Amino acid sequence: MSICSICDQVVTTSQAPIESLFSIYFWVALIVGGGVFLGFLYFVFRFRHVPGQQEPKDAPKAGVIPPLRGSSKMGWILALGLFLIFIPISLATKDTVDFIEKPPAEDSLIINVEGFQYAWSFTYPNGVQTTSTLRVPKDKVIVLESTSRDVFHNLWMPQFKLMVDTIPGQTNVVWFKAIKTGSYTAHCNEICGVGHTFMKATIIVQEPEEFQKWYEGGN
Amino acid sequence: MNIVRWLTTTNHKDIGVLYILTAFLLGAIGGLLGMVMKAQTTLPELSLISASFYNQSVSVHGLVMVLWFVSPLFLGLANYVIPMMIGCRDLAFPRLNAMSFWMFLFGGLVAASAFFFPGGAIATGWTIYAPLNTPQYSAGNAFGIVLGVAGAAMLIIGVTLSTINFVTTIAHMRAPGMTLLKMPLFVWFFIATLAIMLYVFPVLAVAGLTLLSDWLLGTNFYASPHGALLWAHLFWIFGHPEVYVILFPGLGVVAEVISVFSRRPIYGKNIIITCIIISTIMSLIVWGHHMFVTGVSAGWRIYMSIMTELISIPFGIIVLCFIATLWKGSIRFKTPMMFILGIIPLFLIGGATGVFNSSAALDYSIRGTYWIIAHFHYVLVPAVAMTLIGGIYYWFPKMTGRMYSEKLGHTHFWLTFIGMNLTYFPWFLISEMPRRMVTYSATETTWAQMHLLSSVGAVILLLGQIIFAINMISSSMKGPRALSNPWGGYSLEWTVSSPPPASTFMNRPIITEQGRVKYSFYPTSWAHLENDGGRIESNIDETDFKEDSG
Repeated sequence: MSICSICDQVVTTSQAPIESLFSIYFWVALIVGGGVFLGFLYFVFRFRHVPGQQEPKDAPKAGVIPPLRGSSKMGWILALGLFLIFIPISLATKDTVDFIEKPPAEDSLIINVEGFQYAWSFTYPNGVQTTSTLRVPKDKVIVLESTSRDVFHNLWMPQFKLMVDTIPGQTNVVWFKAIKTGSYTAHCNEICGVGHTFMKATIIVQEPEEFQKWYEGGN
Repeated sequence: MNIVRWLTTTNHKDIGVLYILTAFLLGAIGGLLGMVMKAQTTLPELSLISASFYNQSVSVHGLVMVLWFVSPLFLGLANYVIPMMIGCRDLAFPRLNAMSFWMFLFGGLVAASAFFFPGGAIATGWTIYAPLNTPQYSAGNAFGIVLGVAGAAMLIIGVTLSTINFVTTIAHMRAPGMTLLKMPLFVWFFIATLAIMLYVFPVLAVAGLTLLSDWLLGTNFYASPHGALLWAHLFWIFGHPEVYVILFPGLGVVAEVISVFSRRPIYGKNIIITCIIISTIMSLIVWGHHMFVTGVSAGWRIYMSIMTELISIPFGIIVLCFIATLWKGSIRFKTPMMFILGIIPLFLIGGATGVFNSSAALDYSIRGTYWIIAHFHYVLVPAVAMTLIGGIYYWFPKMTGRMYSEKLGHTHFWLTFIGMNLTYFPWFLISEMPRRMVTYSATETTWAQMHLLSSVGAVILLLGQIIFAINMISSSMKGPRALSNPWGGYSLEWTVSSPPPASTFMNRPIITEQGRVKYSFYPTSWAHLENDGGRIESNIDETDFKEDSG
């Protein structure tokens, strides 16, 4: 089940766990929220005022502070019920965080990302540097070591369901492994000045051989 | 109408009205900026306004709505009704109260005046992230940032004085017999707001003053290494609890209205009070969920993730208690009740999507996107703005002595309800679009469709608010006279005339152990004794009172 327009295709390995985590949250929210909503609608309909109806015995009236209603036992029951809902989704989140945090122990390509007003620069291990275009091979773990030259930016790769804050003076690491070739758009996702809207990059995922050719030839 | 009276007033009711009028004036500015943004993003690749003006609109819209619209709105309601609810004549320090209001108003005007200076108003987003907020990176926006932060500093002074005033009043000036448990829940929710404000506004003051010193004294707090995270922490230690600051008074209105219009006492008042206290404490230690992708440690993220999930438990219980109040009631669908019932499904959506955001893993795919702005508009518009507007309808007869038009009120509600869903729901469906983009490419067809829908919704929303303004203005002048207790309310403000006399209680109210309100033989002020030529009336049966107080 996906409720967003781009969830139809899985293009990276780390995207799948995030999508399924989203589904877990979505269904829990729909069932719990929907149940409460239906109960609420029933109450509103069932207990609406009908002409000629008598006031409830304990109806509020001026100058009388109403007596307490309900038992505090109900508070404990509700608290426990809601708490139980959070256990499975917390565990699911913990698993997903663990997966996304640690790049798998595979051969990886480390690329330095630097954001600046208003473009992205990518530096490869062999010194090749590109601006606004990130070329990566398919089926290989790509580690982005990200920082900023000036202000707070955020590299947002919507199709990969992945983002990282790029902050001056520190390096944040994020990884992905693309499993489909293609061309994707990345955006800056933190307001960084007048050019913020147009601070984009193109991510091109290529077949490994094709990438290797570009990487060695530098074009 | 005497202008000098309104400029020099120290009466809590007059100041309450001034706050409410200020709120709607500044809220209209914030709303118009929102409309400007909606116009600009209606179709792809429009250029109605410049990127620079769009950034200013985004930032000022956020700051005005959070700080200068909803805050004076709830402070206005609290000023007007809380002294009456707890049975005292005025706040503890009436002149300080007047000063709070004027600091508030001038703070807002100072911040907004930046639009007329070169470089325009603050354009850094309402979060004013470092180091974009420093002279090194925003030299052209100097007036906007300095005036914006200076205005916020004035607001902080006003709010802090107001907080002290209310705490003193509620702690020391309750009518005899008005025990903590007998206080209406509106007062309880407001106490939580006061507690959080006392804790977080000093943090905002520290952040604002160090930022001003970067601009004016040449220090280098925020462009230095780690300046970015320093600001983010300080801002969100303020910013997240601020959400609860503005949320609680709205929930207080829900508690009052849902009980009075379903003709039943609120369900589980002691449960709700417990939840208020727990969530107040927890609200101070969950700010980290705004910073999940800043590279902070994994352990800290898991902690913040779990705390954020846990804080939704007390709020879930509060909402369920509100719904349980309806049980075996006799629901009257007057305008205040329409607003309060209408927000419950909306707040469910806002609250449930908030649980998504609490997940440190899902944050990799939703932080800072249109999903987030959809989420917080689904929290703030219903649970803060619509509830407080419901409160305005609820206390309108008390404040003006006249009834509003029920027909226009219902029209206002339905236009707001439909308009707000149409405006904000489409944003959930374009979660891949970053927020604060002035325009987008025509190749993004889904974005274009959703923004078009959203703009149609915004027009409906605007129409509703115009009807609201017409209703309020015409009814306050020509509406039919209101009775002292048109809704069958229980709290003390409904025991006095509509509108109440300048000095609310001629004689001191006393609450018996059974919760019955009596008026003591002794007047609240000996001045009345002289004015009334020594004639004091009392409805108290002294033997009755002695029995009650044991």
